[in-house]
Amino acid sequence: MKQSDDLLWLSAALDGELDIAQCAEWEARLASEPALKALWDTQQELRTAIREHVTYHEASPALRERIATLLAAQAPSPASARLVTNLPAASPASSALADPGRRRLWGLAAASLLLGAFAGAGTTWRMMRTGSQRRDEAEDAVAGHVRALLADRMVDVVSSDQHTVRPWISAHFAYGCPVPDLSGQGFELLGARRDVIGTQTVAVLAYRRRKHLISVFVHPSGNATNATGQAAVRLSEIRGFNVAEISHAGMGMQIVSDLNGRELADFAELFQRTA
Amino acid sequence: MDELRNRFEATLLPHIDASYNLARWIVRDAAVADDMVQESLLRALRYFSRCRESNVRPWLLTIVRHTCFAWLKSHRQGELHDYSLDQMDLENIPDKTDCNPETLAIRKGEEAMLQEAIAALPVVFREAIILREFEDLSYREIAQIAGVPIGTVMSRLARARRLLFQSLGAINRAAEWEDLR
Repeated sequence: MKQSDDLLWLSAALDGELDIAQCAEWEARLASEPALKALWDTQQELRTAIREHVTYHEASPALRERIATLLAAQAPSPASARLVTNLPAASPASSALADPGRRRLWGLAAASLLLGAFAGAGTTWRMMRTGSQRRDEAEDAVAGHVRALLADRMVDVVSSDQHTVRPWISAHFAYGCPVPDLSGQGFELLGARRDVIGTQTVAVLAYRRRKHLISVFVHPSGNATNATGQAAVRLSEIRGFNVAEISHAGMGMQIVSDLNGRELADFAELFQRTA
Repeated sequence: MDELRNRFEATLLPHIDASYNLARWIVRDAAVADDMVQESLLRALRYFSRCRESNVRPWLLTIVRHTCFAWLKSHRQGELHDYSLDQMDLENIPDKTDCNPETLAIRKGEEAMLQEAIAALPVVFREAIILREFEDLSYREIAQIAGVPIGTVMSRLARARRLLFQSLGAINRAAEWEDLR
């Protein structure tokens, strides 16, 4: 086999693009060809080096601001202005909406999507929400997670120490909640914040896995399982985010992240087990 | 209204960083990258209602990519000649420094060199590496974004990695030479 073919194979194997038969063939070759194995190891080293050391350029706050301003400056039509005033009063969680520029941004987005046709029918959307309560809770959790990301405010209390976060939650909510230390498993505790599920203010724990932020919404659950039994982790995907739902000792929890589903499910299980 | 707002919130804006990172690596200029992202988001907003993708990240990155390449075409035409590399066989890439696996260990302080080596890659190879290593996109998604067949993505990535090996190999050898002096 030509060396150039080897390089193609190597790349494809590294990127997980081989099918099962090709994978088997590749692994057999790796086992029998030390030179190829050495090249393979360096490729992996290169990948690790890139992922860990090469700069991931993040958008500056100035750019985010500029985009918001620019979109806002696109002369909102009367229709969109009306939509803006239809927005619910800002809850503690929707601080991102408190900023008028952002409000107008939503107005504009809404206008461009709806073409004004639905302008007077804001209530229609609400009536169309016929999903189960659980689905609503998961939707709210995703919306809350996104708002926190946008406002760059994952936590109200910053601490990687469970013994700081726990008292903060007890002091701010009518319930306490477990704050497991999962740093040993690669999930770093960032702190906690307040957010809203439905009409209820709830506690949210924030963790991080590599660059992925994780929000854990914790609240007393109406459909609680019995105190001893632990329901299985339910995994779903909402608008590109993974959501794992668990319940524990009468508490319902929605875990939202852009982390891949497998690792998020692992996290949910760990959380449930250690809580 | 909530639902609509949430849809917009949850779909486009969370990918600003991914958009900026791609733009920045393609145009290699912070201020231009800002402009590219801004322009791309405006375009995305315009076409948003027509977007039927369940996964909007590749969709948005396609817009960013096209915006950046349009800019390169009018400002840095020369960089686009790199396309010809696609026609080149892997073995024909000038290989003055054979890559010796042992010399590739990325030691501390050499991260900047890796950074420069990626920045020095021809633009189509660079975007493939960025989309693959940073955004974890599949060959199919990268092909969609770059507007080329999947096979081309595969060979671009293989070539990009080989070129990185070569430049890092050369760098390491230079460092060893420095040590000897």
